[in-house]
Amino acid sequence: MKIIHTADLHIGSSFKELPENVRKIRKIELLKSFQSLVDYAKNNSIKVILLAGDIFDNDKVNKSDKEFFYDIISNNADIDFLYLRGNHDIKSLINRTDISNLKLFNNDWKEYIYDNVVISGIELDDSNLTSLYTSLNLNKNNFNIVMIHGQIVNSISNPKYDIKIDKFKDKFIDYIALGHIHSYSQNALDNRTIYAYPGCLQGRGFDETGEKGFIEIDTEAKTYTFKKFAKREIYKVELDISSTKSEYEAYILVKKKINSLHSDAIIQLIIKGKVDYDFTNLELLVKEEIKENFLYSEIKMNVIKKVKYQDYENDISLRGEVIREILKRDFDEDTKNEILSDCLKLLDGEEIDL
Amino acid sequence: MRLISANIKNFGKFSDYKIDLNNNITNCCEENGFGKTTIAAFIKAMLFGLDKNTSKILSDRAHYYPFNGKTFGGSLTLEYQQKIITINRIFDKKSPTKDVAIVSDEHGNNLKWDPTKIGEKIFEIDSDSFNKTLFISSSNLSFENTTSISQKLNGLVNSDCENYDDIITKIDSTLKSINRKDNRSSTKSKIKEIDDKIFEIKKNIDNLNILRNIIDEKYSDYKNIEKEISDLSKKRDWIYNRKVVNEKINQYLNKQKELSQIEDELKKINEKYPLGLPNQDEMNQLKIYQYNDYKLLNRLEEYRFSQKEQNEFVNLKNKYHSIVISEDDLNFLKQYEFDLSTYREIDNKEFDKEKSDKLNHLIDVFKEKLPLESEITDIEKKISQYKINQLNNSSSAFIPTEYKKLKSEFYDYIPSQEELDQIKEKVEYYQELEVKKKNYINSFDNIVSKNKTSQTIELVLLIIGLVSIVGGLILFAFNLFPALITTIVGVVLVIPSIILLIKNNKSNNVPIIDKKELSNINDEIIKLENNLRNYFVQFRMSESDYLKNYNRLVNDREDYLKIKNNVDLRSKYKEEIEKQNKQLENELTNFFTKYACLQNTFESSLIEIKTMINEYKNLSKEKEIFNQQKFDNKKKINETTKLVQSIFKKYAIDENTPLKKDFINFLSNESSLLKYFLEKNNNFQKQIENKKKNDSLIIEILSKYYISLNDDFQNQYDIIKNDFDTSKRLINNINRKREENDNYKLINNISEEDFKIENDILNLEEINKQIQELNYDLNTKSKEINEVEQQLDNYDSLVNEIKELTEKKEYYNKKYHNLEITKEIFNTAQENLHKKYIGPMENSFKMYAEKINPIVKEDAKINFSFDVKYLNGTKDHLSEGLKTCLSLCMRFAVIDNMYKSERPFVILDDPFVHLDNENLYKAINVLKELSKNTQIIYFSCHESRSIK
Repeated sequence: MKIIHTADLHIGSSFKELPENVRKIRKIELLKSFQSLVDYAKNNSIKVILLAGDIFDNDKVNKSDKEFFYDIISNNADIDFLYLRGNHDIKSLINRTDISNLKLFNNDWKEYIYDNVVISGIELDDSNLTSLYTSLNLNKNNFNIVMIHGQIVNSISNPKYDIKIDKFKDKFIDYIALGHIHSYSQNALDNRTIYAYPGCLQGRGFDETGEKGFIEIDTEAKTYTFKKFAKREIYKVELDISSTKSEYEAYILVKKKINSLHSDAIIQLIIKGKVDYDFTNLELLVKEEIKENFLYSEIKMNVIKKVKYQDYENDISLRGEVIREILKRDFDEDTKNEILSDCLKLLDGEEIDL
Repeated sequence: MRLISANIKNFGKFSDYKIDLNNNITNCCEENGFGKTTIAAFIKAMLFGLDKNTSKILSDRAHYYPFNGKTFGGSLTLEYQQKIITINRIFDKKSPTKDVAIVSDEHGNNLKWDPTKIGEKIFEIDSDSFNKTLFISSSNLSFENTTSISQKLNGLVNSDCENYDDIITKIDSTLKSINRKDNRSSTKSKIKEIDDKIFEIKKNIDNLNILRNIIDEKYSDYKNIEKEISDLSKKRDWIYNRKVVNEKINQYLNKQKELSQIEDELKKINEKYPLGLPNQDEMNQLKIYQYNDYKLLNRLEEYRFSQKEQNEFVNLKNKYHSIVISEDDLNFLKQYEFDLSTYREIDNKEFDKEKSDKLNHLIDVFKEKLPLESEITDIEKKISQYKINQLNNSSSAFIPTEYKKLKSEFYDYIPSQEELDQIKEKVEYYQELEVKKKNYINSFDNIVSKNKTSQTIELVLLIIGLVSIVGGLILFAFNLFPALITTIVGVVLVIPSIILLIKNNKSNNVPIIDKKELSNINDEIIKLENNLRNYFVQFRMSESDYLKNYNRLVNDREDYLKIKNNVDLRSKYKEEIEKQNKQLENELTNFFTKYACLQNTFESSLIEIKTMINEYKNLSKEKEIFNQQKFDNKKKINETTKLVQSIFKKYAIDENTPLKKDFINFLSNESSLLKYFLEKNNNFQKQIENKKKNDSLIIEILSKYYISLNDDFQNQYDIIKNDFDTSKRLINNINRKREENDNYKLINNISEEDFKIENDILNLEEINKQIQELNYDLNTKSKEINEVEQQLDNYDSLVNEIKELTEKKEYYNKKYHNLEITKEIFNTAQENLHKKYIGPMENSFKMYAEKINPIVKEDAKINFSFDVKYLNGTKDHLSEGLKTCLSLCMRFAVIDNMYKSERPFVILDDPFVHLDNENLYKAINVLKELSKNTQIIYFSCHESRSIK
């Protein structure tokens, strides 16, 4: 049989870094991604979906969002949703006993059986941190899946709610369905056991770039395939323009990079480097170029104008005196560059940018 | 550096005028118009040249052009870098490019200086800068810095220095915009703005925090309302259920009522049958008997006679003594009837008339004697011969075309042999003559060749003849007559050809004749030619070769004769054949006519007669057969009639009754009818027996239950059956109903107690109303929650905004700090610069200015533009005279700093003309100060202003 493993939906995320109009779109997209996931399951005859924690962003998610989520589940009664809470939604009370296909877990091992496929799950708390490894007993003849939410560590480290993955070795587990880390990864624990984080279904910020999706488990073929699913890309792009010789060249370089990205994405563009030409207009040019192409864009300019100190070392001028004075002083690099940049602008008759 | 002398060649009013100059001060005090300015201008012109004339202003070139119009120029001698140099210049009236300037040393050696840069080289400044520093007149007393001066003063870059104040202003402005210290301004600083924004946002966050707390209450309220609704709904459901229970009880009671109705029905039936009803087996049996009875009744009806049938039956029985004519006999009768009718038909037939007529005709034709086969064969042969003859005739009619041609040749007559011999002699004689003649003219070969030619012809004819003979011999195998002809032709050709060949061979010798005879010969030849020509023309021969003609004539004659002979032979043969054919024709015609079968051709006639013979034979035979058949037919009729009679006798039918189809059908019908009646009667009887048996079986069962058998058992059975089924059904229903009712009671949990509970007065309406109101409240609460949630949606973004604003504030603070540092750096840089480069000049200025005004000395500050700034606005209070003096001090200060090593000379052209005594005094004191280390050339026009 085929099973979907997903986690960290974080429904109800605020998307606070985004402007209001974009924030609303992203919130809706988060909900829609769950609906799309269920549609995928329907179209591919998948009858079980594992929700391995942090389905809600916090315990104060909007009622409407919660209702939307539960309505999706209740309107797809032929699919079982196995919901295991994570650190973000552990305090969420789930009071939907009316939804027969919503299967819950608690702080004891609980099993759900589908022919020879046994799915066991446990929600971490203080009471089961050490006992959970020993209290898990599985039949080796079954296809055993274990659901758990947390950060995996080896047995030596001791953070409280982290999962000591080594302790799951040789327990006849075929697949450990993890949640908590927002990027996909998959590893083998022993000859039989594979453990994997599906990552989140949609990136929510510039710290969650890369491919997002879910894992499709095939219990017969014993394959665990990552399916890229996020419809909207999030890019964090750093571009060094130090090699360019003019503002125009830098603009062309940035434009080329922008055009290589998927449109309608969300992008943070960091332009950095040291140049020896005036780049006053570059940020505005890039902003103009970028604004139509993407749903949301941020630009950070970390560009410094190079100064050839040697040119001015012996310069008998105010410029020379200023530079000599700056070089004399013990500034950190950033301060030195900023002061120098401002001094040069002032000496060139320009205004200081704030 | 010092100016030694100036030697004016021609310059302005001066001509050949020399001035020697002192080392320190050269005080030249002359009245107006002396030319002091001219001399000053001359010195300057020697050093820096003259500008070109312009249309706008009067240039020095034009102004100082020699009044006498002579060589415009002169020389200047000076000490420069401890060497004496002389500058010689000649100016063009108009164009600087035509000026000549030579700098030479004291020995007169040309130093090859750039004539356009002499002054620049000496003073290291340009002409304009010279005017602003070393050349002072009353019109340009104030000092202005130039690039050249600045560069001389250690290369200070003006633009930076000039922008210092702007820079500081910008920094200050930016600082204020970031963080204005005084809050009196209407424009807020950025940090202030941020602080205000943060304050606002924090207020909003506080409000939202309140809402966050409120929303929990609202969630709680919402849940309470939900619970209330749930409770009321449950109550409502209970009430509803209660009603349902009541309904169920009622239903149960109804069911019980139905049950009793069924029981009553059953009771009624049971009353009809005190001893009960037959059991199922018996009913099954009765059913069978009923069915049998039904069948029997039907059969009885089926086999029952109607009155008419009865009467018929009786009649037939009597008629045929109850014996039914067998099927076989009927079939026989049918067959006999058919046979008889067939026989009679045959008997009535006559031999086909047409055939009969034909036969009769043939009998007449052949007179009862057919032609024999041998006769026919003979006739065939004759016909064949006849055809052959006809063919032969047609071929013999063929006349060769050669014959026609020859015939035309010998149309007039055929020459006799004698005639030919005579001609021949003539020709030969002619030839002899020709030969004789040709002995002079022609060669032997022509004659020989002619002979050969004629021999060739003869050979050809010979060959043709031989081929004909061979062909004829071959044709003998196929056809006699053509073979014969061909052979004859061949022979005809061969014999003369051989003869001619022999003859030609003999005429090979050619006699020789002399010339005299030649003309005689020619005459004779001519005569002979005419003779021969005329002769041969008769035979359509016009050739000049008479021998040829002769030969041809001979040959043609022979051919003609032969062919003619052949033609004649053929004609004769043809006659014979025709005669023969005629005879045959007659014979054949007679034969066929005899038998009246003569056709267009004998072949067709033969065919006709053969056909007739065959026809005759066939028809005769046919008729014979026909007659035989008729005879046999009659016999059969008799026999068949006897058979029929025997059958009739068997069934007491009149033997003489004609046997016809109708009668047979009639017999058949009657017989069938009788048979039918007899069978029917038997069946009827059987059914009666059966019915009796069946009735007894029925009675056997019914009597057990004291039920008597009715006449109409069918109906009776239906009634009993109906009652039985009804009873059974009712019993089943009763059982089922009982079970159903019990189950119903069980399923619906109806206890005996329920029967006892009275219905509450249950006000569903009120409860529904309450639920409705609560739902309204729930909706309202839901909306409130939504509103609050929407507001709370912004919470995180507000927090984020504060974070961003805080970061921005930090940024501005940092920026502010950095800008302060920047300002301080600029100040320091400016001071350093000032100290290094402006300080010395400032000191110099102050040194000179002290002589003018001590206060000024204290207040004065020189900037990088070499403007003197007075810190306390002193400059605004200075008089013009004082300002002039101070400008002079500035110049001197500049000169001091420009020329640290070799001091130049300074030229002053009555600069103090506008000064009052006091200022004049001060200015002169300054000059004196300067003259300590500087050569001064001072021009004035008034004694009061001269330096003493």
